[in-house]
Amino acid sequence: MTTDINKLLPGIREIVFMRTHDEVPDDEPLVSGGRIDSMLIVDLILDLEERFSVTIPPGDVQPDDFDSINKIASTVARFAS
Amino acid sequence: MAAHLDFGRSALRSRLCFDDIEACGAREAFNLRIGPSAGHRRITYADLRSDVLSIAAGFVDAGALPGERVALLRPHSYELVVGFFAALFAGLVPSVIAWPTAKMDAEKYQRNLRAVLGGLAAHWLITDAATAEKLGRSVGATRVLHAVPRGVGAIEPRVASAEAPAMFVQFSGGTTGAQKSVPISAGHLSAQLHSYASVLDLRDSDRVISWLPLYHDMGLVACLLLPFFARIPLTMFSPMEWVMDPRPFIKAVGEDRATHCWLPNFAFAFMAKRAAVPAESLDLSSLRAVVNCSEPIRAESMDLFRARFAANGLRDDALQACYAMAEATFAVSQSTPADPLRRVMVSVPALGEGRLVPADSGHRVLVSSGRPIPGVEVRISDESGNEQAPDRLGEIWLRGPAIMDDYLRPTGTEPVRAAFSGDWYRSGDLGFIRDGHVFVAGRKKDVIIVGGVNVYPEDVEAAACEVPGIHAGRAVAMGLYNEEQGTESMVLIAEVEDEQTLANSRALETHVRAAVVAMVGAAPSRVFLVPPKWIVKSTAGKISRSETRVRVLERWAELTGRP
Repeated sequence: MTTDINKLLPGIREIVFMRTHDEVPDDEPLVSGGRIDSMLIVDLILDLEERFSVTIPPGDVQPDDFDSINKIASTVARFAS
Repeated sequence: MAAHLDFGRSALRSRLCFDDIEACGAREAFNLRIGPSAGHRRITYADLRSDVLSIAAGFVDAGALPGERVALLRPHSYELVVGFFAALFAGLVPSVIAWPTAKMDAEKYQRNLRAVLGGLAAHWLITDAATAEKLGRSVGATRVLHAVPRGVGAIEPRVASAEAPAMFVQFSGGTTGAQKSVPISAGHLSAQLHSYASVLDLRDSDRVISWLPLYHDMGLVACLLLPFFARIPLTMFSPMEWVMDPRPFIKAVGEDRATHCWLPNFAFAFMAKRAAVPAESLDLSSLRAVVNCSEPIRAESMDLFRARFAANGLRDDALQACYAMAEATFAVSQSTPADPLRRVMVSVPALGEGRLVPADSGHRVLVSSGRPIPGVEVRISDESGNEQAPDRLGEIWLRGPAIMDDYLRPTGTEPVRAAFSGDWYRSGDLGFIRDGHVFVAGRKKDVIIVGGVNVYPEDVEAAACEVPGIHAGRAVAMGLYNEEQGTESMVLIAEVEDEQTLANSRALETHVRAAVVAMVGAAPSRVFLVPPKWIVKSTAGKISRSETRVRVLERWAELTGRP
């Protein structure tokens, strides 16, 4: 079953906004661009798992998987079923 | 006590200069488990010395003069560690700045960076090529260098005099607001390491394991400078790689026979939840100290960790706690296996009046951070600065040879020793002493004073979050000054789980109010139920009371207009 990425985007934009306190374009680098650091990702992962009822397995993700709103949406979709 | 556990100022200087290289050269300084597949890369003290001398020569070639301040803005790496020690070797004053911080908005980023560098009065910024290119040749008065070129030829150590006011500079820990720069001298570091190593009963056979970033005192002092000066090995992970997958870290404890580990509170729950590995590949029996080092320490996080790893050899007495801050170089107090951390269950309303009353309903479990380490004096002071008796709440004041002399005052116009009363440093933390143990109950500035009663926002928030329909962990309580009443009004913002319930939220609000009154004995003057994700989180990932306060004030009309 595929998850519609467009349906995930509004929720992810909100989760990202709560951390960056800024409107971030969907393709802007978050990790490599310095908007989100390692401490924030701990919380981001737990939040995404809760909000979208997915399990993001440790070891199957890289910082790059969270590097933009679009990439986060793909990552969530990858583990949603 | 082993010979290397002399942390006198001349011993520190001698080890910075690698005078003991014949004795320690072949020994392991670091096991770098950084990078893809978290492979091993063992670095001996001879390797480290060679790299440090070469980079130190590079600093000298670049024209850096003794006493100049160097800001290091690099990814978490061996190169960052080498840069730090090379700066010390060359007589410079290093500090580590949080990475990554290169915001894409170049203008805004430069403004922030200029503020940090200005606060440090940094002469040099060392960063990578990409960042250096974005920044240009200088930021304000700070010259930008990308990757210090390795120097040629021999270099004599220029390690600063033990009397210099700053050996390195670290940053105070606020989650929000401007961080302050804390200069640490060789005398401060010497006093801290001498005292802390003896409390930890540090031995030649010990090993530290850490994923902590070096821009916090916990990562820098406890997890880099302590093992370096004690000449014990450090197993080093990267924070980001630990976040992505904490399993290699927890497995490495057994593989490397690590004995000491420092962690912030959230890491206990995170690892208990995300470090599921086959039991046979996990052996935590070597750990003598897993130190929870944050305020407040949550009993439930410690319990989760213990329950998850007890079957893997985790010793019960290894779970310890520490109260630490950049201003004290690092540790103020520490529990030990012989004198373990303690818990008290106290009445929340009585706590608000400054009294400790045992209770089993309306209670909160407070966890101690152990006894003050030798040389650190802790005193609990009331509003007028009078010393409080044991079991009485007040502001935690500190004195001793490891406490900073003052924050850096880069422009020289800032008030002198504004955070001190006489020779006591006022920490801004609230706590009490019981049976000789330090308990930290919260931050002074967060306390809400309702009609003369102190209410702790965390208690109000916990009460609200227990009401069905309120999102767990998503409530913020704050005091707003009410001029008419001359006191603070308690305001509570709580996120609902389902936005639909906001259409008819009267009953839910009543439940929340009742729960708060039952818990703290005081009623909020306003309760705002808001949709999910309304509350602002800080960059540390915690709910941010200060930024949520700004949001509440900005949206006051909209909030109070809700039917």
